[in-house]
Amino acid sequence: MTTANDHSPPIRRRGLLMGTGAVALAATATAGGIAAAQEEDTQSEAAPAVRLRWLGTNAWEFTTPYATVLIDPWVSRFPTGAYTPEGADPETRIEVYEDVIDEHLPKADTILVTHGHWDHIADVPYLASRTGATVLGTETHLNLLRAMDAPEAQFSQVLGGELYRFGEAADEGYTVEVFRSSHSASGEHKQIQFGGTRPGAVPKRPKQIKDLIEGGSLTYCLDFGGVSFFNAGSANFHEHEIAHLRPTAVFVQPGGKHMPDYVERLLAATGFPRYVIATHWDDFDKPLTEPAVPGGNPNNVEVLRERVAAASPDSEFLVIDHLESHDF
Amino acid sequence: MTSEVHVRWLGTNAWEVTGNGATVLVDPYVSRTYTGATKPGRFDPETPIAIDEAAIDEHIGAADSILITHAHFDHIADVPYVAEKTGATVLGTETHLNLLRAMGTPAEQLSLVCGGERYQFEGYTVEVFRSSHGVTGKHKNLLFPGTRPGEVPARPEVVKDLVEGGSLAYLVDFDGVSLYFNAVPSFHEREIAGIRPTVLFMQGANPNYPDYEERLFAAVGSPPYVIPTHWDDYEEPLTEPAVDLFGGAALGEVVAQYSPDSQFVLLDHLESFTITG
Repeated sequence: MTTANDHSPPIRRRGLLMGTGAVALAATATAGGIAAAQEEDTQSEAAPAVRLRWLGTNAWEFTTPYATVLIDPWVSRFPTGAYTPEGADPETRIEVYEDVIDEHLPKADTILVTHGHWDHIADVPYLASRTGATVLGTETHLNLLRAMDAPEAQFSQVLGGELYRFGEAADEGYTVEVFRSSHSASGEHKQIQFGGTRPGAVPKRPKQIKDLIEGGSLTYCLDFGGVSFFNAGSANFHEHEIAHLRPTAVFVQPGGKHMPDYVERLLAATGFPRYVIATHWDDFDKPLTEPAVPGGNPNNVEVLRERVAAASPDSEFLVIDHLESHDF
Repeated sequence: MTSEVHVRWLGTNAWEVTGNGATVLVDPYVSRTYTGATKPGRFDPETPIAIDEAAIDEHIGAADSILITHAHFDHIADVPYVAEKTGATVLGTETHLNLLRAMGTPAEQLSLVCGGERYQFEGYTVEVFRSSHGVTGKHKNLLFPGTRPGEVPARPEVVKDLVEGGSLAYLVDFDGVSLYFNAVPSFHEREIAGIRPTVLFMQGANPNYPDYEERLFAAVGSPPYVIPTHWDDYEEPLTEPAVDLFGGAALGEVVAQYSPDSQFVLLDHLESFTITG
């Protein structure tokens, strides 16, 4: 079910999560009155457990009746030339458009940062201040955010290897597992754009996009209790770190040509998930309020679709357009 | 698919690997500056870093990739010159690359890795693994430990300025003939569990590490070939037969015990060996 421009939060059928099959049914069978209540519920057009909405780039909003989780929330989309033949101008000034953020990102409880590049992190200081959300990132990511006056008290420094529970009641919560990763490399010498770290003392305030260095990369598994999502902010991952992970859905993106069999190895490492979701495929110099325009190769999504179909024929490939949602 | 891979030893942990028309260098160091490091009580950490360009030109021709295991002088001191001369891509940690930047290495050739990467190059792939440097003494000290992340540090002038900067291991694969560099007593067992290299480049035991050989062969299986590395007195000439200071020959007995099906290949200075896939 994919719906356009619908901001209304979904209502979960209590205890019954789509996609969990026999396990969820067995669990609800012991839940007495709640299970009985669901009998009727299943007859109606029930609201989903998790509503996933795309905000362009690798910006995703996960909404449940109880919480909102954001990954790499960036909607300011000031132009940099990232998909022109010359590439992004490193000296482009960082802009934060608060009205645009307010329009598209009303809520957040947790913000997950995959790396420090501008198209992932530049809106986080304002968003964190406004929402009071917990922000997960490496020492460098958080140091860059500190230097941009993000609220220190909300920072949660991770390095990969952590497994955290969020939410008060067990059935209203979710978990976040963090994994070490690397950013994808490009060019003849396999370079990471704006590579490097800023550990220790807080650096100077970032002014230009080149000041927002990569700062290490993380991947996340976000588990809402039966529906789980694995996201990497760039076309790379550490195979040994995530082996045995079995998410319901995995995000894949174009690129990764320097990483042999990136798509195929990712799908194999995550157990050929039921859903494969295209991410970070749009030209982010183009407006978020219009249908996404592929960045780079105009057929990047179709190429990805074919690779996914060949590697994991039983997976459903989801392409969610700008500001559209998919319910799980 | 049959492929031929040639390996040539340049002393220390310096290896030249050629296959599929490509050349990969590991820790290319041939300047062999006298520091006293191999003579007990003689090591001078203040020894100026010196590069013997004539020696480099004599022994090192082309290179497509340079793989750095750590930043001590006997691994990295020649890399700025070799990178400039060959145009090769240089893989290393942020600290390794920051030290190279500070020594004038072309920044556009530096590829930052941290362990966990697997890259496709023309004719071969390189997988990178986290590792640690070996320690010595009662307090398990690491020589010139530490990192230099962030801004580029001051130019290293003496050998102690070349801090270790983290350690890495590499699996280089030429269409199925794979070579694992940096099998050391301080290896990270869980990082490399399950790899099955054709050739293992291995160092001798260190009393600080329990069951090194057993754990190593449990992790990587029984490789067809084991080649000892970094066993020579690297302050003696590269153009003379290697002086066995760190038990290169003795490793043969260890391999016979723990991996009897492996062929032990002891190469001397500048000698080559060919592996056919």
